[in-house]
Amino acid sequence: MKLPLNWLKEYVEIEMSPKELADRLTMIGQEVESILESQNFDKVVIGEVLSVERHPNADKLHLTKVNVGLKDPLQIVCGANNLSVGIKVPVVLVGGEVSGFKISKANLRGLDSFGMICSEKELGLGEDHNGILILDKSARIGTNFKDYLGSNQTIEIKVQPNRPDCMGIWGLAREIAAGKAKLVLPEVKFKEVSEEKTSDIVEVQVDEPDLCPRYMVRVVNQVKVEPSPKWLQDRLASVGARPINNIVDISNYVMFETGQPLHFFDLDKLREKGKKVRIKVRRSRENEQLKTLDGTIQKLNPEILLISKGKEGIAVAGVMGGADSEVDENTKNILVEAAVFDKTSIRKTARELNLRSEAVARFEKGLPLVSPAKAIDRAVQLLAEITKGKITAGTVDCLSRWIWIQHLGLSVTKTNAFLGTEIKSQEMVEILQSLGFKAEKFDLVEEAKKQLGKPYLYGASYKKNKTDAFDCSYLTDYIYSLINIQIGHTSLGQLHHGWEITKNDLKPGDVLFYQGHIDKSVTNEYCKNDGQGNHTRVSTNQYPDGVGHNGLYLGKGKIIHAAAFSYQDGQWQEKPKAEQKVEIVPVEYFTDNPGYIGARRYSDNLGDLIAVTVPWWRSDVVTNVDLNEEIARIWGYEKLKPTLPNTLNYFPQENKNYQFMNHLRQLLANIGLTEIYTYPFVSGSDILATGGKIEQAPKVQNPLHKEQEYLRISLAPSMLKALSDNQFAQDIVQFFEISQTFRNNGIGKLPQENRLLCIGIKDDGGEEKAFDLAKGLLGRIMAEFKVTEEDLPESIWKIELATQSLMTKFGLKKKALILSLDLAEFEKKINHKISYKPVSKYQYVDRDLSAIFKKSKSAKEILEAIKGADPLIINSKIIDIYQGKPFGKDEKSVTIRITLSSFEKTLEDDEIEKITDLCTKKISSIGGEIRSGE
Amino acid sequence: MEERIKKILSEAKNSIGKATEKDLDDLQIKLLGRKSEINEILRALGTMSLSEKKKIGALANKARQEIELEIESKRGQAQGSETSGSIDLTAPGQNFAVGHLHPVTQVMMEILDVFKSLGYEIAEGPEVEDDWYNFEALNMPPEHPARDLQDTFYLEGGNVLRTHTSPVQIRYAEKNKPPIKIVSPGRCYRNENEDASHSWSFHQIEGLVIDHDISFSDLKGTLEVLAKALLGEETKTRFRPSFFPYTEPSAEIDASCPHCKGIGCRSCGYSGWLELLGSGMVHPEVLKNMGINPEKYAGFAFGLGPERIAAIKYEIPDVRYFWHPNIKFLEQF
Repeated sequence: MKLPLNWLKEYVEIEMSPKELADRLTMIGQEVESILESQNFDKVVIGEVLSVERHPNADKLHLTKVNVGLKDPLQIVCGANNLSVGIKVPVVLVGGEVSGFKISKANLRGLDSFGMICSEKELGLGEDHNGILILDKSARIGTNFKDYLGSNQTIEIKVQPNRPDCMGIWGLAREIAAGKAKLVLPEVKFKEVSEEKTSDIVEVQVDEPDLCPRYMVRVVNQVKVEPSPKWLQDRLASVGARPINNIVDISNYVMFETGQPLHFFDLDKLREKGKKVRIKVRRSRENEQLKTLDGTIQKLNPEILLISKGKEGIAVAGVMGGADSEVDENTKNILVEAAVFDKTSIRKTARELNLRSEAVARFEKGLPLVSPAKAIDRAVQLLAEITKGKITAGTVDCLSRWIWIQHLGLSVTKTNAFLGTEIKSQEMVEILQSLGFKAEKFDLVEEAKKQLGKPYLYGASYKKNKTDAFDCSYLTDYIYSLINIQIGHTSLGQLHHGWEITKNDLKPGDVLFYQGHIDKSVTNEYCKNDGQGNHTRVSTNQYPDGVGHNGLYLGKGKIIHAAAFSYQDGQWQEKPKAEQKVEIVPVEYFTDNPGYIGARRYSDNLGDLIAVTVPWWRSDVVTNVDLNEEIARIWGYEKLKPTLPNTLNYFPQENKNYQFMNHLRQLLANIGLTEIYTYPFVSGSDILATGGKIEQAPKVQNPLHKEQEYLRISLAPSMLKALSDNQFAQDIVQFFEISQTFRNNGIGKLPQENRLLCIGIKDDGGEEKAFDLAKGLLGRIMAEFKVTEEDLPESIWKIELATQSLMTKFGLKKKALILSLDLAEFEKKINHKISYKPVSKYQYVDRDLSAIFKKSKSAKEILEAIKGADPLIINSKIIDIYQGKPFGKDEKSVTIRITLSSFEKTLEDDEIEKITDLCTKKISSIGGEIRSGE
Repeated sequence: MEERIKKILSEAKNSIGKATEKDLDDLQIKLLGRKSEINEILRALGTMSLSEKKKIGALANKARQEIELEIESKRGQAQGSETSGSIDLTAPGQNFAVGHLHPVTQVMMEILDVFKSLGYEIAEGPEVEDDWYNFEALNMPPEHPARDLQDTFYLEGGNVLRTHTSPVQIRYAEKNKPPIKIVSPGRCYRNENEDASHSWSFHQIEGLVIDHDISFSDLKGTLEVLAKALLGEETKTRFRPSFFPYTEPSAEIDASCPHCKGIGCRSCGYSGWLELLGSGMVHPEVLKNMGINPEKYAGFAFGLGPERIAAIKYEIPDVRYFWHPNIKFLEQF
């Protein structure tokens, strides 16, 4: 949304530089995208295009002559396709600079070019790169572009999705004025001079009230189509719209002013002679077609809302008008349409037909029901003033919903507690008023007294009677509705809500009930309002005798009530008509009545409330929390005193799982591994190649590429790819990743997520070295978390060497290996409890035994054999495995270190020898051949 | 006698000064041993008058101590000179493998440390979520335009790869009563074209605090603490209004650019400010969806992107570096 400052200043008196204004907008919650001003536009001047010719040697280039105020026009080669003779454009002269780009004399396909004509983007003013920036006709040739901008400063705002009101300059002006300056918007007034009635010319039928809750039509006759006055053309140009003629321009202008898109039809193109135009708002038929204003034939479907005349479509609702009813230079009479369409429907249609427009951008934010009424009046006013049209009498208005007026009762204390502020009640009132809210300190007694003397009418309601008449429960309901406390529409509902109060504890605002005159209409059901215009039905059997009447306690022994009956001599008597009204009676009138039921209270802080009425254009404000935001942003976020939450009574639980994960990450990095992140998306072939089953993997409905249509069930594919991408960087690459894997878990359920550690090693030293490294890493991890080999089931870890086919698939030229570890399972094995083992004060003795084994003999078997050979063996472990010369191909040399110690004495040499001999025998018994001479 | 002691001392200093390390042991015996001159004097103290004893004794002992010190310091010097003389201090030592945590992991650890010190609990949740937790419970009913903004990966069957870590808040609040004070780190996913500022996965750390009397000012204070902890004590912050469906009021916090200190540079797009994170007071509808009464409790929530913080801190121009492993990139951190 472009906000031209000149336009803004017509409504708000502000003395701020564009930068200051942009800061102010930012601080009240409007997102400023760019400020169009104040760059160094040295050597950027205004030129007039004198001629445009095709470049003889290039299809896409033009040769132009541009008058920049020098003696001779400049020859400039330009690629834009919106050039025409007579337009004013920004020109960068040779030696000037835009977007950090120096302009020098250039030769483009054989022709000299002395400068550059710029687009908005090239000037760094915005995103528009669809051709050059066309300037206002009044721009003075040869003057500096900066001076031109000086009077055309514009701030570009990204309006939040919940603020349709800010899609109009009036709305933005209100925002800027709030809490700062006076706002004066144009007065909308006009005369209906034509004697014809609009309803005699056109009738409207809305078949889809959910998609079109309001559709309004007015007619302006005898318009004169001509170019718009200069001020109007300038205004449109300043918001980036192309002036066309006075009719089209008014339609656009009112949209930019109010935020309400309009559509103008050429009435005569819709009208069959002597007949009423019958407009119907309906869903399109399957494959129905409509030629829209842009000349495209749109193929429609029932999801798309259509404005039609008889059977024939005349506009895609809210998105684009039809070509056949378009306003042209011969148009005489105009049908003005202003409507509210369902935002979701508009958004979908615009997306489906690929038609983005200023109108769509507004409708899809959801317009309030009052908006078309305001905009249509403004439009006919301008049509009358500018085109000399005659406005017919009345508006045809199809409104299918009740226009809900949102009341709220804002507690000053609660708002201050919520914001952490000490804003005075009066200041809150002023802030809200400056935004167009009605706000005043709530005085229940005063509000009630305003209704004194109004006639009693049974079944009176706001919809039917406003505040012209009341019955008993409507009076109390009305008073409470002013602060959005919903006590129920009937006496029964009001008795059922609130909390019970005894006669002696009465306070102003309490409602008192007695049985009163019970007629047939008394039921056990009532409607409860949710405070935002919706109702639910509640039934109760708590009051089988019924509730007939109620009144509102005003304090000082007085009650106000709307009554039709009086109690005399133990009888209910209907009062004479003239005496059936809102009146004040003593409290005893209720409490001493034999039918007195009791009193109820609905709020205990009535004294602290501001009664707020939300203006029609702020449908985003529905709760007190929304008001809190209004107050905070206008009062100033910058004034909030930063504090920390007082949650001293809260003790956080330690997240063990997270601690473990961090500890592991840190360990792996400390011992030389580098952490990687990879995407979780894999292809079917990735899953198959790494030994998985496709049906286990969750499938992505909308993948970005075919190779990414599954979620991974193993980290191996991404790791192999990462190793491959880095295989030539270093001799040894050691990566690790800790990530989730996903497995289908049955229809309708979330997939099973497992967190795995994957270590990938590429070692140019060969697979055995890599394996040795991987196993060593696993051992190091286990040692860190005090997990022993016996504790670790083989099902939770895996070391796999990449097969030749995997290497080919992932482009690996060197051997690679993958270690994976199921972290959830591993975490369960962590030994958090360490208990002390006694340490001998006598010497510990190490003896190393080397033996040659068959290659197939596992380390585990070898250690098993020695284990338990003698109680003095404290520990035994393999410290070296060697394969290669001088041993045979299927042999290996294994060195085992045995540690011996006694708690009783220092071991003698012969004792040590005895045990090592025993071990030697054990080794021989499993086929080991002890190597002598060591 | 005094003269003699002075002489002994100066001669001793002299010979220590000239001595090499080898001579020091012998010299020590000569100067301080039983037969040394200074010991002779000390032995002779018994024959002196009381006042002389006092005076000479003190002097002799002081001299003795001085000689001892002199020898020790000479030994120390010798040691130092030997090491530095024969070893090339510029040669590299034994090679220890150096690994690297992902820069985003490092930033996340740093952020979580801040919150742990502020007493927050860490909560995690699944990366695949259903529609309720990812959208509806967060006040984004079907057709809500914000759903379009968060281009979502859908799984067959209707589940989604979570687009933010906010679902963790709902899950946590369902199981735990206020007071609640958590941060939830984790991976999120968006279905958009990959470019310098967009990746298909990214991380978020979201915070949620709910209790009686939690105020908007508490949110502001918390975020200021965070900004200073991450970007430096001198960091200035700007707390400004914003819009999110799940918070009301909503706010964003900007931090003064740590590179140019707010003057304006390339990192901050010449504005002097960096958008740091989004936040707000938890929307009453969201509280209700958590099973918490908005009349009794209030809360704030915030969410920040560690990738963004890492990009700011390390001046990384392209978020794709985070997701396409390259050892030459990763080993810088």
